[in-house]
Amino acid sequence: MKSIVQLLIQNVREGSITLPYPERPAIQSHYRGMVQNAPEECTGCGLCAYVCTSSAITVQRAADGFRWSYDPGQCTFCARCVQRCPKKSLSMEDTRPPVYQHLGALKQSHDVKKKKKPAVVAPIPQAVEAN
Amino acid sequence: MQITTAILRLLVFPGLFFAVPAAWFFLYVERKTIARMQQRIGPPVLQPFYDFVKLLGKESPRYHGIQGLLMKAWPALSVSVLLAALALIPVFPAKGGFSGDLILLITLLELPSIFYMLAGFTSRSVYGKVGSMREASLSLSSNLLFLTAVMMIAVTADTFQLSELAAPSASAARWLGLAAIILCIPAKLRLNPFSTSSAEQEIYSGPLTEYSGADLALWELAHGLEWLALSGFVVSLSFPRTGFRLADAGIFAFLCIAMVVVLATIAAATARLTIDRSVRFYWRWSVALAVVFLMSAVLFRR
Repeated sequence: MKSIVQLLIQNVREGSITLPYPERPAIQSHYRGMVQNAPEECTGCGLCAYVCTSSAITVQRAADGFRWSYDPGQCTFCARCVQRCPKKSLSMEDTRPPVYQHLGALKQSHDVKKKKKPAVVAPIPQAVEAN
Repeated sequence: MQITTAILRLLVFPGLFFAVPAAWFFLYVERKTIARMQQRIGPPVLQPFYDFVKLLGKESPRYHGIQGLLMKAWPALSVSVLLAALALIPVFPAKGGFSGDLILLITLLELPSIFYMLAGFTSRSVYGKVGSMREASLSLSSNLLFLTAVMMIAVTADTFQLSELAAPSASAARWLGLAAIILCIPAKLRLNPFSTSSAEQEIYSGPLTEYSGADLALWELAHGLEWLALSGFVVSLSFPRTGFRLADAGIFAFLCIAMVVVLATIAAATARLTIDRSVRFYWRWSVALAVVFLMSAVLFRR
């Protein structure tokens, strides 16, 4: 009883914590913003799209590469894609997504050409002379 | 009461033209107070009016036959009886009244609760029926206290006429009775901790689950009018009159708003009790206090 009265008095005294737009509260550490992809690192394996439960990430394969697409409007910012990326090409911004008015306004995609596999030259073992 | 006075009271003050904006203002005070307690900004002063107008433009679900008629009738009847109740409240006691108008006022204050219950049963919604049953249980348990308190106030003052009751001769029994009535107001207004019949998260607003559009707007208005009528009833029987009409109206309005703030603060500070706990609370207090009230009524009778 005493604690709830104290809490109410404190709430009234401190005033509203609602910030009028465009003010926004400070960002905490490890903030999960929009997903960023570094195309030069991405191999197009599609694991990010596979683990994405809200289908915000899609990877469409083409003959000469693939198209990586991301829709922040569908994203739940769970960070599973970032955790699952084997090449660590995905990361999350530490800023809030901007306010947008039209559906799909923040949608982004990268066209990445298929990387040529480096020629693997197997070393020829030297012959061992028999005694 | 003359017929012209009655009509003026019903339509002008404290009836329709005064009561409807005042009801919206009381709804605003309730919402704003709860918001401030929860560190929110809360709605602007005209928000209840905007809500009303917006709801008027919304479509209501269509019910056929007698069900459709009754679904529309309950909110309209609630608003009507509350306006009639407001017309009886003795803000300026010299302005008339008639013998026994206290009984009529109590009846009119009780009817919206019955219409609310009937609305739940008429809607045939499971949530509506649960809400109606809860409202019925709570209404029965809180009314013993409410009615014995009113009876004690009337018997100790030896009158059932509101204008005479509002005369400045408040006794200890009067204050005790008014305190008991204030204890019943959260149950009558379905406020926390006695909001089981209109529990939004559990039973989707109970009897009002199936309501939308203009009918829901009328229910919201009825809630504001209930605020006004119940707080006005308590304040009109307690505040000392100065003799200046404007000053009296100002004091009356200030005390009514103060009561809304206090009750809204209690609502913000408490969680919803379960129906059995709510009923047990009122029965426990009711039986003890009802005995005290009846004894006081006999002892302090004029």
